Parts: sequence; C-alpha cells; structure tokens
Amino acid sequence: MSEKIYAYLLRLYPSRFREEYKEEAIQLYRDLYRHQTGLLRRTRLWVGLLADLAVGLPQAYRNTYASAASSPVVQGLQGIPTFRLLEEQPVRPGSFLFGSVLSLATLGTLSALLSHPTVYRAWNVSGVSRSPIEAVLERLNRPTSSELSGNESRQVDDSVPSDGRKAEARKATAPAAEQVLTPAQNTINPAERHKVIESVVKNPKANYPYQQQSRKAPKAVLRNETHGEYDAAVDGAVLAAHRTPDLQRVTQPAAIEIQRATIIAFCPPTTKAGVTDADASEALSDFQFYAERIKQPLNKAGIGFQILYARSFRIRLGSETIVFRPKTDIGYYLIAPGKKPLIEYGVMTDSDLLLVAKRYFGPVGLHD
Amino acid sequence: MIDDPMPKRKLDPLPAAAFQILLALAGGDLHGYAIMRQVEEQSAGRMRLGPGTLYSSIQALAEEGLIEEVDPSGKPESLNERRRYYRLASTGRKLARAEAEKLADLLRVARAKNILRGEYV
Repeated sequence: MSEKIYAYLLRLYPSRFREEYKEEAIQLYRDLYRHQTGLLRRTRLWVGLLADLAVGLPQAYRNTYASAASSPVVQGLQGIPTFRLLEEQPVRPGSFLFGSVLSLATLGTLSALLSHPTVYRAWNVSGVSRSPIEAVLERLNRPTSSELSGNESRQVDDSVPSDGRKAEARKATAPAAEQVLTPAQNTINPAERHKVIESVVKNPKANYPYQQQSRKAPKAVLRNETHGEYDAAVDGAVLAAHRTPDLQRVTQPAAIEIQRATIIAFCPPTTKAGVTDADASEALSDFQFYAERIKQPLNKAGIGFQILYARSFRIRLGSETIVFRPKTDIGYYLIAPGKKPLIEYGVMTDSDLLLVAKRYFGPVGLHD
Repeated sequence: MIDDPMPKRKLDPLPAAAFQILLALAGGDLHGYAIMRQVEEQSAGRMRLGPGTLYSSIQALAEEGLIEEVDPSGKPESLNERRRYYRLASTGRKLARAEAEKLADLLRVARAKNILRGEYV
C-alpha cells in the first residue's frame, strides 16, 4: 500500500525523470522500507521521503528544463525568443482533466461569490487618486438620496469631470437611483430598522456640523422610535423620509449667523413621495454631489458653505434677521456682511457655482 | 586554448548532494541504494539522500558526463533485482578534485584565521 502511495507521489516528477528513474526510485523505496522496521522508524522514513520530495522535485524539473534550454537548437538562437516544444513531454490526458476540473471549480466559486452581494465599502482614498473605473463604481454605489439627506459625511467622488457635463453624470447615476429606490428591493424588517436608527444615534457628530445641535439628535430619534413613529416604515427609503425631517427639526440651528462670506445650498426636505420619484431623487443626488465637491475650494478661499434641507430658513446678519423662503426647490443663497444677498436657482454643477461665487464675492482665491 | 572540464550549467556551483555522490563513487561502482548508504556513512549521518534527491542528482551528473552507467552484469545483487550501477567518469573525478581543493583552500583560510584547530585537517 505504502509503495503504491510512493509510486503515486512519483507521478509529480517530470515524465523524463520518471521514464528514466521511476523503477529505481521504487526499488530504493523498497530497500529503505525493508530496513526500517517499527512504526516510529517508518514514520520517520515517510517524513524523510516527503522532505525529499520538496527538495528533489524542483531539482528534477530544473534538470529537465535546463537541459531543454541548452539543446543545440536553442543555443543557436541565444538572445532570440524561442518556444519550447513539448514533444518529449506530451501533456497527459489526466492533466487535461485536472485542468478542466480546476477551471470549473474556480468559475463556480467566482460565480457563487458574485451572486452574493456584499456591503459596499468605500475605498480608502486618502492621498491616493482613484482610477476612472473606481470613480464610476463609487458613483453607482452611492447611497440613495434619502439616505444621504440624513448623512452628510459620505465620500465624494472627485474624479468625475466638473465641467458641466451633467447629462453624462445623470446617465451614469440614473440606473443606480432607479434600482435602489424600488421599495420592494429596499424592504427592511424591525431589527434592520433598529440597526439603522442605532447607527444614526451612535454617530451624530459625523452627520451634523453643529455639536450642540447634534447632541439633541439621538434623543429625538430614540424618542420617536420608542413612540413607534417609525413602525410604519417598512422600507429604507420611507424610513429615511421619516427620519430626515425629524433630525432636521432638532438639529437645524434657529438662525444662521453670518459673519463672513457664506453660501447656503438649500433643498427641501425629502418626502416619501420624493424618494420614490426617480427624477426628484436624481436631482437631489446631483445637488448633494456637487455641493460636496465645492466645499473644499470654498473653504480654501475662506468662504463658508452650508447645506440646508428646509422649505425656509432664517439668517442673522448683525442685528437683522432675514427669513428666506425659496421660490423653487434647489438653489444657492450667497451672502456676505455688507452685501445684498444673491439667490441663484438653476445652478447645475460645482463649476457653475464657482463662477457665480466669483462674480458675487470677487476673485478671493477661487480657482476652477 | 584551455580545455575547461568544468560544466557551467546545472552543477555550477556543485550542490553538496552531487559532490557527495561523486565522492561515494570514487571508491567504486555503486547502485542507487549503495550510493545512499555510502553518502550517509561518509558524512557521518549528516546527509541522508532520499530517492528524489538522489536520482535527480544522478540525472544531472549523468547528463553532464560526470558519471556514467555501467553494465551491471557480474555485479552482486544484479541477478534478482534490476539495479543500475554508476561509475565516476574522468571529468567527474576532475570536478570532485577541484571541489575538494576549493574546500581545502577554505579550510586553510579558516585555520589561518583560527576559526578551526589543526585536528580537523
């Protein structure tokens, strides 16, 4: 039996080696086996044989292929790429079978892995630029507008062009938005609902810039959950639609204090009807996308930037308080001490907003 | 033109197992198992060649012309068992000598540097 195992192991050696030395190697094994009596010695023999296999195999292959490489034909063509013929070592039918089984197993494993969706995790991109493919993937995997309205700390895609090619951006995001917003695909059970609420409660600081206000958010959300106000939300979109105004009510500052040049990006709060409307959610998605992109250049130029989800808001400029009610849904409110406010609707991209800001504030370190 | 008997390919530098086999065959023609025993004996049990290492070394040595297979007729143990005997070729002997001299040079250096005492050589 053990001899058969050893003979089987010898099949790992190159065919030229086996052709030449297989019988002798088996004979040698017989000699060794005959002289090693007792379980301990035979175990030691097998350990030695396995170690020998690890050492002898590479050497046998090196011998076989080193001699093939030094054949007269190849020597005559040194420096020129050549092919090696397998004439002396035809591929065995067993190898074909093994290769086929291995390929099928690999394909099967890959398909099984691909058919099980996993939670999307953003790349750690600090200091590393993403490839265009990664950028598109991230765009496609962006959370729904309803989720984003309660979470402003999402990652921003900085690889998509900002030169006003909105139609292309819309084209890229539309299928994802439609797919995610289908309630049937976004159904959540009470346990999942609690998990979502818990995540909001645990990390309010990440979602709201005002520390004092963010402390109120967890209490309000937990209170609403205890009162069963979220029980009717059977899918993620509806839950987000309920949750967002709750949080906004609590966290919205009473009035925005204007002490320097500031832009307020405003958008109405998400509603249940809004989250199931693909056009509305796409518009919101674009708004959030470009708003996130412009934050950094504005901050660098010393211009404040805030995003508000409200139908109206109040601004305090010195001793004066202004109540602003937008005429249309999405827009930008530009204001600076001593200047008349400017309200812009229909700004499509971050580049467009930069132009508007330059015009209003003057060239204060703003670059395209 | 200098005739260089040293092979430059697979056995350059000469592996320890191949050198031991050349030394084992310096005492006479041997078959695989006898080579293995001889190597174990001459290395005081420090080197034990398994079948894979032994025959891949024999293959390399034979292909380089350093050892050659000999007719087993008249050899003991060859009647009932198909054993193949190997003999040290003249190039193999030269190579073994060159390798031994190289090692002897190293030993001299080691002794000069007080790494080794005289009793080893």
